[in-house]
Amino acid sequence: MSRQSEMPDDWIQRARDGDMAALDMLVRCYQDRIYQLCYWFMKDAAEADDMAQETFMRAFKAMARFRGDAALSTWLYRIGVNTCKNRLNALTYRIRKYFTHSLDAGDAPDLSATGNPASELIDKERHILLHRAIAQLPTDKKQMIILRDIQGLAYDEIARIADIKIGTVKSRLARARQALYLILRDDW
Amino acid sequence: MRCQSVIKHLANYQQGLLADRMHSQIQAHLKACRNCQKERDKFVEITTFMQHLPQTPAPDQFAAKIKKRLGKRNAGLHWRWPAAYAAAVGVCGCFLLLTMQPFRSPHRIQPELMVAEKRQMAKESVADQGPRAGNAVFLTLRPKPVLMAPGIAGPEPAAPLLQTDGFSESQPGRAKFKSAPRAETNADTFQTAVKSRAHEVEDSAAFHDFQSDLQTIIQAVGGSIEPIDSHTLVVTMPAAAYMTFLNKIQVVATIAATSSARPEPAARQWALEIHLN
Repeated sequence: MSRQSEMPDDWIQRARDGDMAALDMLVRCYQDRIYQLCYWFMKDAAEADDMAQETFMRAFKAMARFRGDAALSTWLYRIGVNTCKNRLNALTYRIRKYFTHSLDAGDAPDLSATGNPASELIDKERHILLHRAIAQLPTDKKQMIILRDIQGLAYDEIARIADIKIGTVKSRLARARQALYLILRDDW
Repeated sequence: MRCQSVIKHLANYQQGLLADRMHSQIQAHLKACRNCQKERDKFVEITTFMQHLPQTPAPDQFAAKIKKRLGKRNAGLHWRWPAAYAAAVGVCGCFLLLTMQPFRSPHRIQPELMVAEKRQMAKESVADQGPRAGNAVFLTLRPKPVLMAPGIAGPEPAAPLLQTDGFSESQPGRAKFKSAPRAETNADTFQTAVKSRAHEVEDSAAFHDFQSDLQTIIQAVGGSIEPIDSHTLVVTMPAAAYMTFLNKIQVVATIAATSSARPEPAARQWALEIHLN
């Protein structure tokens, strides 16, 4: 979970000025991180794609207001989290969710790194189990798991994104991990 | 300590959030209880699995999709000069009025300088089907009374849907920008590039509504607005769609010369105002 680099400051300024090349670079620099964030928040890959796109469009709209007192990635994460949360909280979405399945085997990313088919199959199944289990968590717990354990963010960064204290991050994370473990305990 | 209690506090134990006494009790229990050890190992395995997941990359063409969305939304996010849109439409109107005689209506305005511009263009080009590359026109926005028919003053125009800073009856707004028609314009398609170097106009909800409406209308007639960069806009629409476009947007083009002597193309100035139905 290594921290990835940030876009250079001069390019950030150009993006704030509306330079199309800089905005394009911004997308390319952060698209994987934001997409992954949305992937774990949402029901499936298609929704993740929608939310990730929406995150960037909202970021562009608010780009002029980015003050630079936090890393651009932190700011983008915050927009991404809020975008996903708004969608998850939408009444129509909640109703639809009860009648549709979440991630299928075909949606799980290619985890083939070991070269061991049996191990890869187990990993793929666990990936699907994990995605479904995270989908069952309340939004505030889901947010902690995704930001800390999947995105690998530091506690202080999560605190800035969620606008809570570091101590609250730690306690919420513990409760989130506990809830996740209880969901997965019998199937893992 | 019972197994149930250990499992209940596994996460807090692993994160070191328990009080010392309870932490020690759980630690002692885990040393002795194989079942709870398995549960603890499972908990750690789940957390470790999450922390070592491979990156989930964005789909192919993700950046391209964003770019397309930005173009479709007119990139109004960073297009700060709303009058430039008005002027772009006005340029479309001006050039089409100059070059497409069948579309001229006796009830439309016949500005003198548009006629003068057409004469100039006729001199410069044999196939005068539209704007040509190399023309540079500086435009200034200034409201003028509308003439409904030659020599007859019409009703006062309705208040604009959007008024930018300084764009008012008493203090007309001014903005300067270049219009550089593209070489590839042909008889079937009108296209012009508009560059703006105007001062910034405060962003507003009304401006976004205006952009959105304008974009919708232009797309409805099969045209497009494409921002090239933060100061350059390309407007394209089928020439035959212009009348349809006019039915949707009431374009009031008023032309004013900066001096009585006909200036060079680079120094000409035009006035433009747009109302949306």
